[in-house]
Amino acid sequence: MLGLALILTVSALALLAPWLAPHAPDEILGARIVGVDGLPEGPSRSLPLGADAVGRCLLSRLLFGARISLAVAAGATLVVAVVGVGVGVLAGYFGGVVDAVLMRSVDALMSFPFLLVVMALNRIIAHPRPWVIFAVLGGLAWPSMARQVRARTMQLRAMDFVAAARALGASHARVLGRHILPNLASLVIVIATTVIAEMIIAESVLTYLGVGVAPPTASWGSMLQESEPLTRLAPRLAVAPGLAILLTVFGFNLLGEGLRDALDPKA
Amino acid sequence: MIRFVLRRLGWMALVLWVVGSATFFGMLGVGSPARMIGGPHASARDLRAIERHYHLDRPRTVQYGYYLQRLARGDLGQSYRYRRPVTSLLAERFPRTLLLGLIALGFELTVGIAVGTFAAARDGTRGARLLMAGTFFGISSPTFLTGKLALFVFAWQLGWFPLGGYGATPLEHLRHAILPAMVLGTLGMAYQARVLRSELIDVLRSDFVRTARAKGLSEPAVVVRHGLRNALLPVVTAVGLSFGGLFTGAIVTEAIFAWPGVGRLAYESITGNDLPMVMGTVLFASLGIQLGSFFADVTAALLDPRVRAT
Amino acid sequence: MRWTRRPELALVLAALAGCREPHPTPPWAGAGASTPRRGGVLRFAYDADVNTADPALAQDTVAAIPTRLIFDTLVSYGPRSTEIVPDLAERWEVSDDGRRYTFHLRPDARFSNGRALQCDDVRYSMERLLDARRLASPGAENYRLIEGFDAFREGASRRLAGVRCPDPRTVSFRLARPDPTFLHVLAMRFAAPVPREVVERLGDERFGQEPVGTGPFALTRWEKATRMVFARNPYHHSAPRVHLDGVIFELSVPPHLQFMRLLAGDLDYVSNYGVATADWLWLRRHAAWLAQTHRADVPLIGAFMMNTRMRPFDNVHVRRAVAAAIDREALARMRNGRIRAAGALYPPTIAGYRADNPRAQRFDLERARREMALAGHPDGVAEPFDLWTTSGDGASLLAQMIQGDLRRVGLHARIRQASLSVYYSALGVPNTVQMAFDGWQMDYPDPANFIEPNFHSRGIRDENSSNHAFYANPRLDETLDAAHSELDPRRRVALYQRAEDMLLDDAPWVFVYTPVAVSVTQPYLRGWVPHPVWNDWVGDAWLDLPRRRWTRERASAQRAYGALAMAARPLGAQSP
Repeated sequence: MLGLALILTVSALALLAPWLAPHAPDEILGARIVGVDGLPEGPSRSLPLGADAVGRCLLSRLLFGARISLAVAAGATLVVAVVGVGVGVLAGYFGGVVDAVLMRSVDALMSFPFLLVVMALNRIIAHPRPWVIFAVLGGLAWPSMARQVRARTMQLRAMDFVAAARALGASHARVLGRHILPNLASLVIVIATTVIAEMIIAESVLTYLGVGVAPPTASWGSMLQESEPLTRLAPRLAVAPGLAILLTVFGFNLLGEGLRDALDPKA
Repeated sequence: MIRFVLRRLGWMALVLWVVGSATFFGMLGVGSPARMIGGPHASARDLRAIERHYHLDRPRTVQYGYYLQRLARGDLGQSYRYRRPVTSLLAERFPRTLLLGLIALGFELTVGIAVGTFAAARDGTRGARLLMAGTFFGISSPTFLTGKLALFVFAWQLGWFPLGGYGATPLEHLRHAILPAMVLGTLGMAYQARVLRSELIDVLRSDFVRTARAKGLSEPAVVVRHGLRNALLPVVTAVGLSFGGLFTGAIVTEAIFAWPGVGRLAYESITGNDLPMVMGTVLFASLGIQLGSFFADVTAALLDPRVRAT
Repeated sequence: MRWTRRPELALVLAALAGCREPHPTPPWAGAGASTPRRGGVLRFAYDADVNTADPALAQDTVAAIPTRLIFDTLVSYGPRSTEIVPDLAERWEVSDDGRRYTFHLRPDARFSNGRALQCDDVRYSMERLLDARRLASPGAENYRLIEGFDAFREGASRRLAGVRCPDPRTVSFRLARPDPTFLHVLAMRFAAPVPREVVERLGDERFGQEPVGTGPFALTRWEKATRMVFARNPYHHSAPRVHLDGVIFELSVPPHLQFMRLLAGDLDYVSNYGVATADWLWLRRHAAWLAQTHRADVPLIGAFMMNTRMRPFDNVHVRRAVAAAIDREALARMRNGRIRAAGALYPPTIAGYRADNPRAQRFDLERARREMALAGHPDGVAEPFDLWTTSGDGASLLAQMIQGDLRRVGLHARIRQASLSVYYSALGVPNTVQMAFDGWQMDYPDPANFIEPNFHSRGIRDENSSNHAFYANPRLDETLDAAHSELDPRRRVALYQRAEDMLLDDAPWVFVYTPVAVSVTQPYLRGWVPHPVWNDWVGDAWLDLPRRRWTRERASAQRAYGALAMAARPLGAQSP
């Protein structure tokens, strides 16, 4: 499983960043700001990937950036999973008025232009901390999860074993907890892996456009943004975070695909 | 059907009101619009005059009242920065966004369908696996990376395309649109190819296709006439859902390629706190998304009688 | 899945491997003419969109560029100086008390629709600008010194008493008190005369889209958010000396595209905004292009303001410590000479600038630590403070450098990025922002414009203060008031320098840099030098195009604009 391996590697690097990184991510290493040619100092033993545009250790920022990027994506996905499953299960299981009300609000939320609204919200908040960003991202991205969960819940509810459980006098809570939710797990995990991939991209796009994580906090998006004026001459400044984003997203998509094949009885 | 359409339209109006009000109250009171209009050097007294001019000195509820009145007439207000009606600014930009979006959509559909069909028909071969891996790349790479790379390699290094911008004549518009449209369409293309492939593989395994094969139809005919026709439904749905994107434009792509569409307008108005303009683009985009899902539902119903039944 | 064998990847890698620099030398040389040649269309670009071409409303940098081509003012600046010279007014007299200015209009001053300029247009334009119910212009307050300003602006009087028309070719202004900056204020575009009949016919909104003015060029076509096309105004008083047939001004072109298009021969010059750090470093390695770059001091001061009413900056020693803690030379090195270290308020091109002022703020870590000790914080201030910046990348990088410098004296800044409108409205409210990346880009080249709005205690208000540091110093106020009505130029400058010294000592701002603008021109673009007052002024340039390029240029312009209205039929010129 290449996907899993990629994700585990990136996560391990992110978790171990404080021990692996040669420098603090925000530390400006005074003398190293510019080399003789006017560019940030290139790779050396003490700076394995060289310095960035302000003279900070690029490797350290990459490692700590992984923490922010992954944390924002994972946080947003958690919000998506919790809200999406909650709404989807309630709507699918109870049907009727509950379903109508919940799904109408899902429809309304889905007709918000996602990127525009997230940008505007981050603009309003003005000084977004990472948790604000994931709350905003997650808060707007859950409807599609809810829809899929609802559809599956409706299928499950119609199945014999649920009817049997109800007939035996099981409470709603028990049916939901014992019969419905466990059967939703595989679907939710598969969707969640792709949502994480989307959220990593969303975070980097937002920060790249200047409405995401505030400096000096390193995230892959902010590293890309800061590399912009120098990209043509010091491509490593953009290649490092770019490749990190690409590989991580690739890993999650690959994992999602693998899981879908493994868990989906249809295939 | 008419009742269905009317109900959808009523629902759309309701959602637009919700979206509009949400953006209104969300954006209201962010910074000082008067300062945005007047610029950093405007004096306190000039700013007060600007506030009076735009009714910014009125209570929020009163402003909301004005806003709803205008909205009901289809008037989205005056842009703070341009001091012109939001609707006329949108009208200037929309055709460009539409041009870019339609080319992207065309690219997405033709290449996506071709790749998906090929990969399904030749499932298991090395070529198919390679193509699918390629689509994986497509759905995993953020536009701002592919866009920058494409611009640098194809426009700058190789000189095959113009260096961004919009051109002055219709022919130039087309020429300038190709590269950004391809960048914009890559994600959708990869997505369509993947969806179509898995759907098509299912269809090709079904009984009626087996019957067709047994009747001695050639394989391409089987794939196209029986397979593709039945597998296109999710593609159509996906197109409908991506329709909203045609309205907002692609914020990132338009920024990289200096394409003067709605997306760039939206980005500039968000970073510039041009409140009426932001509300206008959000509403416009929301309208696009709803029209898209509406069309998707209608086409789905027309294509597949089973959907109408449920 | 074997994803490494990717055909597109191979293609991309091949393209990158064959990484030739596409344009190491300028694609077209000049033809070698020694005197200005007439003709040709100059093409340049800017990174933002023009919102309006109405001079009364065009307040931002980008909108100033087209309005300057379209509109002339009564007085103006010479091509290379900050001195006031005649423009629409061929001469003027100032009364002995310094309160009455009488301007005599050029007999050949005309609008681009052919009509002669008259005093009534000047008066009409002033009243239109100042009418609060009509335009709500952001520049109106600049003209408060005209007699009757308040009465007219508040609506108490229907005419602006201070502007009179003794005869159609004479305009007289009366000021409420003597003011040597008045000519500069009249040279600002807000005061540009507009033709009454056209404005009344089109209405204010449409006039901003289809302007008609007295300037050297007329707007013939405006593809919104894409480009503005100008043709020489045949009625301009100096039309024979306007060399260019036309100008194409491209809008919203991001810097990376501007520079690539310059190298490809697609733009005739790029200004400072189009030269990113990498581009500048690239230029330094390509002699042929380096010979085409111009460097000029920008009349702008970059600084950090400290709120003198908020802790820890209410203590003058902390402010002085900050002023001494910032390594300006390191910043200049980091920006590769794109900025010049500054230790005082007035930039090099402004009267009052002193290159060797011993009191100027400068980097001195020892002194910074001593001042921190004097302030009672020998070990620094544990509690962090907010350092506000706007959200441009440049601002954010600069703030991060300063953050690093301040840490060395035990001050801990938390960077807070805000959008422009949030930033300015917060800075204008008392007790809100402790420290911010601030600065001043001049409205007109005079020391008064740098010091009064930012440091006079009159600028302190409950909201929208222009004095962001909330610095109140009665001695400074007194000096500034004396300087403002001083009519002797030498004594006036001396007063402004004395005022500047007070600031250096009290350090409500820590002065950090003035930018050095780098612009690059094609070898055939001649007669263009960075203007000391106006950004992107191209009115005096001419093109020395080689014949082949000339033909190509003309053909492409004709294709796009049909003879580019070479015959100049400006928008709005048609009579009804």
